[in-house]
Amino acid sequence: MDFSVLLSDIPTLIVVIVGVPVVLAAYIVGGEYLVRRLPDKNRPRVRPWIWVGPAVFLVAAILFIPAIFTVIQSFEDNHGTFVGLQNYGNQLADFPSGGAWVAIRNNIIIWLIFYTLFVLAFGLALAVLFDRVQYETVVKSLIFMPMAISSVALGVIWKFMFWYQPPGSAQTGTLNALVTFFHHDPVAWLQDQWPNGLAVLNNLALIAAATWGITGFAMVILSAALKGIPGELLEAARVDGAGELTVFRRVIFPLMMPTIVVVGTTLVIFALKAFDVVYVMTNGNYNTDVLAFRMYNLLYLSHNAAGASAVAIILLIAVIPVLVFNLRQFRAVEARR
Amino acid sequence: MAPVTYDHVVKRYTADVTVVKDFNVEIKDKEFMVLVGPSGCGKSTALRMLAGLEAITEGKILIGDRVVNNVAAKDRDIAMVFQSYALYPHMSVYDNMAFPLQMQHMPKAEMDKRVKNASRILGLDNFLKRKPRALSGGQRQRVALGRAIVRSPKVFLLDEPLSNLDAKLRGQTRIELQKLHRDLETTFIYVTHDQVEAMTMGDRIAIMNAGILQQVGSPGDIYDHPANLFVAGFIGSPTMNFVPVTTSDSTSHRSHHRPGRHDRDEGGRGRAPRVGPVPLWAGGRRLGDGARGPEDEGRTRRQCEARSRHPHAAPFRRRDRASAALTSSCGRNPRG
Repeated sequence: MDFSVLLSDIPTLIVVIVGVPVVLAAYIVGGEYLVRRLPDKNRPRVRPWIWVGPAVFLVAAILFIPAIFTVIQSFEDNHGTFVGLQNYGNQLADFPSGGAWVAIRNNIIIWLIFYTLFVLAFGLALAVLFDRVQYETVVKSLIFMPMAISSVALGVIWKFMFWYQPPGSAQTGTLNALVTFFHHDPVAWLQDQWPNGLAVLNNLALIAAATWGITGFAMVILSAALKGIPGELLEAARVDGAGELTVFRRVIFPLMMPTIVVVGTTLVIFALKAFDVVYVMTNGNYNTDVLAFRMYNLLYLSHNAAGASAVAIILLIAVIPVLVFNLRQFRAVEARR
Repeated sequence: MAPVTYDHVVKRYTADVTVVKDFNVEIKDKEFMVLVGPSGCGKSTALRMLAGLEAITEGKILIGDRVVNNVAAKDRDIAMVFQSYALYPHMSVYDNMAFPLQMQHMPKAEMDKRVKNASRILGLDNFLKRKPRALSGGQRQRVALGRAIVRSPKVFLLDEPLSNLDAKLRGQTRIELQKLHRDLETTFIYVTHDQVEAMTMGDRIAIMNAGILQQVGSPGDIYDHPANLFVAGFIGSPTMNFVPVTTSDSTSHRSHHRPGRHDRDEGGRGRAPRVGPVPLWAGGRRLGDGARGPEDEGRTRRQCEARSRHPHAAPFRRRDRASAALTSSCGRNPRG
């Protein structure tokens, strides 16, 4: 290998390795020096800002300012002229199949409801059931493992699972191999528009793949919440005459509710941000488009930055209520401790 | 309202971990039975097996004349008060107490009547709408009791219900529990590690140690006639003194023991004398004249536990005047 490139970069490397810590140290030492010269009563008010300053700066530079530019851009055309709501008009034209409507429907109805429900239901069921067996840790590690797979690899794996060959030829896709084993025609899971143009089946197929990848996350958090319920509470309920299902319904579930809500809203945000599985498995075809993917296509394929900004803002508006709710809920849970 | 029978009950976790060994007790109907013993002696496990929270490895447990080994906890018709109270934190006090009744699908009106009645007895009327979080420890404890008494169960199980209360409240609640027992006329089985609770509350006491039942009897009976050294040392406050003594075959083991240094010399010859600790009750009263040496003035309440070589000596009754001298090792240790 040719290391000359590396060698020529040595000065840069030195600057990075030495310079960054030096600048940080200088910032902290200098900041503290200045703070100490302040009168006593001002010090506690100023000091936190010295320490959170760098983080605030980074968040502002990388998140807030671009967000503001995106909002501005969504009201301009691609040459920087103000066009009002025209970009939004384009995206929201021709209801129900034009513009961004398919993506909005997939995101805000199909993904949001089914993805969240599936993941919560599976996560909760797995957490509660495996809590009662000896090999709990082994199974939980197995179910958590898909979290370690990149979502692109996950998409590829599931594309193979859903692989379709015309009837009569050998079915290499796992699911269609099963389906044809029971003498049923193979199903084009990812293309099928059933029922008529609603594209429920292929969207659910994508959601199934994403669910497989994230269930471990929900399960681990819910399982931690479950372990936080004192065993005596469940024993008390049993002695009080409750069967196992009633114990779950009347004691376990209500006590896990705050955690379920937090995990649920997190999943809603994941659902709204869905991109990678769609990109890898269907490329947004067959009515499986989602907002994030539409934004990506507008920006990089159509070079329509203005349209992409409008989609981004639509997505942002969809996320905000969930975000606010999530934060409130999180605070409420914290306050209850 | 039912008697409870433990018939050769064994609880084994693994082949060599046995926490309850051959446990046999018959608890009479409406009796207040206390299971007492040091922590880890298996008393809670014995109770939990009765509650149906632990499987029974061997033997039988009967409630009334029904063998309950394979009956689920929910079908045993027992109520239990846990040490941590185990109140449902998401339910109001009212709902906590109504929960066992809801499980029986009791009509609303009857349920309401019972909950109100229990809350009146326990002085919880003003707290019915509160969550357990907003109650003090003593109030929580009452809710736990209320949840148990609304059902009028066959048997009432209490697993160290007072250990999370402060000393004053514990004393009050002890009396209230006894009153409750009288009023409810139900079998009470009460687990505690506190021998004072056991002695003051139980109709009968079952003392356990290391998974083995040591003695069952009324408090007075156990106090006066402890079956062995463990019981003798565990029951009574202040605790019984043990004094190593030598007995010889020519005399009764109760008379004229000579303790101490000379044991070994004597033991070397002919008739092997028996050496072992002899418990002496010293609760508040002076030991018999012969027991007091000059160095023991004011120290009669200390426990003097001597290293026993033959732990076979029979315990004394309280009223016996032991004519044994305290060992010098005992006298030398002013802090007991």
